[in-house]
Amino acid sequence: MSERRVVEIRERVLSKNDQIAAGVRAALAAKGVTALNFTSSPGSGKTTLLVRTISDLKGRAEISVLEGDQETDHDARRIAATGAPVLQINTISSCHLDAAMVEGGLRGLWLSPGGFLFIENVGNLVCPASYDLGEAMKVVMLSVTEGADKPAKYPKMFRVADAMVITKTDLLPHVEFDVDECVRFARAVNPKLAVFQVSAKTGEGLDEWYGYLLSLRDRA
Amino acid sequence: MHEMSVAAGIVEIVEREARAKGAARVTRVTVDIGALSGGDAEAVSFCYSAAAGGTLAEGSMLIVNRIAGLARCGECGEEFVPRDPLVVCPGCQAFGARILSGEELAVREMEVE
Repeated sequence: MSERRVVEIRERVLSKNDQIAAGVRAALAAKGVTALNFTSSPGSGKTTLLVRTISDLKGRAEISVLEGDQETDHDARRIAATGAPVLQINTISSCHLDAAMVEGGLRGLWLSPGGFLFIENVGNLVCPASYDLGEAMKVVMLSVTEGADKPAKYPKMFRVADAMVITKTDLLPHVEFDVDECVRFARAVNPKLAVFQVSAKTGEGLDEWYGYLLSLRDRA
Repeated sequence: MHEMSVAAGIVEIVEREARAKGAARVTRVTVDIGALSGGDAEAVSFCYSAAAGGTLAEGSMLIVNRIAGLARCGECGEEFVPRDPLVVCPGCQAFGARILSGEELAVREMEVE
């Protein structure tokens, strides 16, 4: 039996993911593509808002979509109906997308130079917070049918996000959701968070949201 | 299932380093897991033995070095242990303190033979 010895390593567990993400980020930048990583709980209306955004920005922005779900291509079909290039990634046993999945997905997805890549992450506010996908910005969504204290319950996701979109605001008259309280919780964990309130159903607040998106591209 | 991929990430690093060092097997692995890292120490430990199965790290012991959260207030400079989940300064109630430690999720060292 050989001698036991101690080997120092000091390597971050996610260093490999982060290396791949850096490669994805560089490749996207070379094409002038602005990538956004959308996260939320299941059922917050991510796909609905993305479908509306793609339709409303037709002629103003070329948008390609990577759809992450554990199973099915239902969301990809909804996106495809808008005419946008879309590729579905099924994570199967995994609760989040990682950079290698995005890198692989991008081999099969058309990206318009100067356009956008929307990455719709698996519905989950915990794990996606830890995985850099090579995006320029993380956008977290929260619907008014959820608890207004979600930013306090899942602080890491809100801390790493650049923007928060409060969705389904057309339902506000029917629910207890306190928008001011939600924003207060969110800014407590991340004072720099940009906040939008939208209804993909009525169109309320979408102009501000679109203005923000287009400004990201023009800044890139 | 997040912890399963963290455990798999630990095993991947350990096995690569063990091979590079010409080790026959890994007997012990020490990891740093910060209180604010999003990794749950119990769940990672639970997943580790499964993730290590069939690798050079099979049967090895995982030691978790837990690192407490520490933040410094940008307004008054007070250092404090962030009271999960809000990073609010207990001194002046200001938001947005800088996190000094607690976000670690890293492989520190291993024992091989």
